[in-house]
Amino acid sequence: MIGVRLHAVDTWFFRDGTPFTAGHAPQENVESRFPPNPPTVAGALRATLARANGWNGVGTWSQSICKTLGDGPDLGKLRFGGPFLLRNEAPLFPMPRHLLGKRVPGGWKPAGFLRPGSPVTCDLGDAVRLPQATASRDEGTEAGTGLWLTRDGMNAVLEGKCPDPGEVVPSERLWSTEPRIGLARDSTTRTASEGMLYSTVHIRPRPSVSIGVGIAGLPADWTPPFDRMNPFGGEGRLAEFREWNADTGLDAHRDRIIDVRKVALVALTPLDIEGGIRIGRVFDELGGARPVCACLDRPQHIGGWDSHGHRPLSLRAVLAPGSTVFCEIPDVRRFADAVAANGDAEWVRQGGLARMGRRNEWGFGLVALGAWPVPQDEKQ
Amino acid sequence: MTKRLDISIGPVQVFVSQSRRTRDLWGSSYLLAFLSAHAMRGAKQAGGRIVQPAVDDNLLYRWVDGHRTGDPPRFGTLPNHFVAEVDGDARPVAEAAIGSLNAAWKRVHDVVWDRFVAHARPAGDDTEGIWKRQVEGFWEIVWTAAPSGDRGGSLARRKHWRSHHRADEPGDKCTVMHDLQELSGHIRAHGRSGQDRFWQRLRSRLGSLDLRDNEQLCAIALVKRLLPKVALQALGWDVDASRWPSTVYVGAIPWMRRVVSAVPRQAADYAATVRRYAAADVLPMQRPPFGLDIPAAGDFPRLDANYLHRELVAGERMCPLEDGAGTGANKKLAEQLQAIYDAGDAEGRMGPPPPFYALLLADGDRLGQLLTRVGGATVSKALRAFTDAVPKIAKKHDGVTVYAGGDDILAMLPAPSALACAQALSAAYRNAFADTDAKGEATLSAAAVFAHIRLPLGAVLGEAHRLLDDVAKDGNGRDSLVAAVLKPGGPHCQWVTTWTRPAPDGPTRATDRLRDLLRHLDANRAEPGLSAALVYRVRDTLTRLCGWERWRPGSWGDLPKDVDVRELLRADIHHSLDVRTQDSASACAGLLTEGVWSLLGRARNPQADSVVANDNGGSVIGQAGVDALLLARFLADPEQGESNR
Repeated sequence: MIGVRLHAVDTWFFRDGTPFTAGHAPQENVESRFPPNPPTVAGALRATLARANGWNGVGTWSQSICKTLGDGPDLGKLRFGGPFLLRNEAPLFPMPRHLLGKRVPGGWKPAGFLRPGSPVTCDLGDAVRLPQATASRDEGTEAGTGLWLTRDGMNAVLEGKCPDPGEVVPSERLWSTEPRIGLARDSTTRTASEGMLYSTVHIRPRPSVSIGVGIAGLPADWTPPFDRMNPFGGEGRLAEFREWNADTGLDAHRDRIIDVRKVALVALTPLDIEGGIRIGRVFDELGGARPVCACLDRPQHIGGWDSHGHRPLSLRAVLAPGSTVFCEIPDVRRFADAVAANGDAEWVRQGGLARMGRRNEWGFGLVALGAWPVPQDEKQ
Repeated sequence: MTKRLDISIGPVQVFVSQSRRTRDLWGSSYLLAFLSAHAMRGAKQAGGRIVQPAVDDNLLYRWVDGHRTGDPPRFGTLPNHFVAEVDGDARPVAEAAIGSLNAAWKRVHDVVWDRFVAHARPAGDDTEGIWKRQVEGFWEIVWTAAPSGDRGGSLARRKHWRSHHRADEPGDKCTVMHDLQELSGHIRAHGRSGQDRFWQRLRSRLGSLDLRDNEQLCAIALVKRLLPKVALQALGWDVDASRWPSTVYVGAIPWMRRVVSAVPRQAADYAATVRRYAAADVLPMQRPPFGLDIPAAGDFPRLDANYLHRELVAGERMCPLEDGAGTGANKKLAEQLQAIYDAGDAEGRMGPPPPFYALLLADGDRLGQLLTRVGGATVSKALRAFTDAVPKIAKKHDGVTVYAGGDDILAMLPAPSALACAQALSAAYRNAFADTDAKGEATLSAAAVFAHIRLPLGAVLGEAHRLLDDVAKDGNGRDSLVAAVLKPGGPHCQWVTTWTRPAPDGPTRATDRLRDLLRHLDANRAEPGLSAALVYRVRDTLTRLCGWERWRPGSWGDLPKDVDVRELLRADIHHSLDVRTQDSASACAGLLTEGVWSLLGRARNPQADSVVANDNGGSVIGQAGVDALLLARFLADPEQGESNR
């Protein structure tokens, strides 16, 4: 397993599913996503690995390259972990959806948690433990958006404790946006051709900010993709590929989780779970863990371009990084075995992480295992 | 045992903001309110008592419930969330509400399918499959049942768990709702012909202005767009879409009023020429609205407002002409339009119509807390009085109400009257609660976005939501107004303020202060005023004094304590007046300085979570910004404001 860090040479641009066909779609202020989705990162890394190992950058890959890197939707021997947002090479984690807080001057102050609450009759079922604030004083607080947690902050959350406000990092301290204009020029009128003016909004990461990803399954005799510059994302932007230690540094809480037979799963990358989280579902990949509650924003939709079939990939609903799923564990041994087995990359096991849902090999479905926050009255 | 049943229908914000034309905006707001009314009716028929909102006198609810007297409802007046009291099991009532909504939705989309899509189906690739997938899986309806003492906490808890997952959407995407597949099912990258053939066939039963050549829609966007054409069958009454003017039209209303008064014959002639060359649907209005019905002006007030802009008339995309119109038609139209621009009245040369309009979005502050404190019945009654007043207030300011339900307002106005309308709405909201225990506590926040007519409507609405939620409510502590100007090159300014601002002589209304400053910026005034150059110089000076690395709209900065900024400003203004006039400079400089100074300081609600310290009565400014000056400059002369400086 190796870790790779992608550093912006200039700006980056990662498009969402918005149509971008000249003359046939709105072309104004098309905004970039950031951080990019797992398939975008995996695609750039595969191309860079191919170049580092004999591909000339034009045409199809040789059979020997395909054997390792796969072809199209088949990833061959590869499994990706991430992407992670890095600051000074240390990962920052998406704000867990069950952490509540308030805006304060210059930032956001964590103030409490959501956890499975008293049963409610609702459209999900007759006695559903909908998310409930751990203390009544948490009313008026809300889940944070556009925020990140440091490693210490995330470790506190996984322990069921409120992180220090200093561990919260707003996105605006990590990157800025830059509008760009593009056009096709009509040489006769010296103006933009009709329907051929477009504007995009690029991302400019701060110099300390990069994207990290782990790659497993690479043969030992393959040249790693380090110290190279290659295209990354849209509009022909570049990334410099450097080595990264691929250490998330998250603490494992497995003993405590197993003791109480309850686990909070916090998504570090998008979760591709067909139909989302519903009562009655069983996660076989987590040894039969059963969801009793979830803190979820509306799904994100991730698509892309199928370069083999020359068509858009299906736009699929995924749960955003930071989504939290509270599960009960009926069989702790099965759970422990499943968690130990379902990540074939060493660092997945070491960091108290697991994988769930579909497309794990692309980087989807990486979750941190934590404890349920304790209700305020139980603490006293 | 009596239970409280909360039912919420979504998506709202995304559904409404994914609009390319005013008609989409109206269609989505109306459709949501219509479906909500059906859900309420279903709940009521199953034994629920609707306690929030108050529906007995609601026009839309009455029409849905079969009491169809007077004019039908012209815009949506019901929110997407309602509360019913239920004796016994709430689930059958919730299911009846959802069943009623689904039946109404099916009736609407079936009519659109039958009349406009079914005939094009053979040219598509599984068009019917795409249609079914989209119409059957679109709405996100959640409900909770709780003991009757619950104040909505269960629904709030339910909304922390978003569970609605739509099916995968393959293929090319809709040009209005980007996360849904367009209906032809063909892939453009494999050849355009299949896709073009399908849309040509579909367009054959529509007008050229219903669906433009570059639009390929999904089922949901097509239903929104075509709702007015099928209203009689789908809703049960006609909605008269001609009352839904475009953003371009709304922006041009004051200008049109001048034209039809000053040169009605020229206006009538121009309209006749447009009719000769353009398609029949170039007159979308059945009757001219806004008091523009002057017989001598002919069809001019009913014209598609794109045809009032010379640069749009020059292109086929926005102002299509009949195939046989000939190459000289565009030139002739442009010449006639230029003659109208060159005409004059008492205000001076007519000039072109303003290229900006205003989108006004407003909603009540901390309504949940208010409901808890004074009760649902009191709040519902006050909100009903408020929403009844909204269309009259909008109309008085030459505006149109897109939606007015509960505490939410969406309206479009000509740029000059938007802030006065916002202020009047704020006052009306307070008045509606004047006889309740929430007197003085019930406040409204609003966002007024002055947008260029060529900006995508959905982006403008998205920006209005961001401004209202993040800047006015969270950032400024509610009870606030935020006004921003969006130009094609990007945001120009963003000013947020409490409705009343502190001043040495007592609190004053923010919009009055701005209006006073506007008078000094009016280029036509007799006495010397503030020049555009001076406004930008003040911005540049403050940028340096406040240490902004790069000024951006909405920036606030601490004024340096060791510089008398007020005196510096006065000297700058005095110098500017000296240059422009030989006399009265001294007398005016002090007055102008006070006008500018009164708008520089940051006015925030002391209850804002993020307020560190309050500014002191207006005489001492803690933090300063120049956005109010830039906004005043823009409002004084939007034509000059069109430059991207």
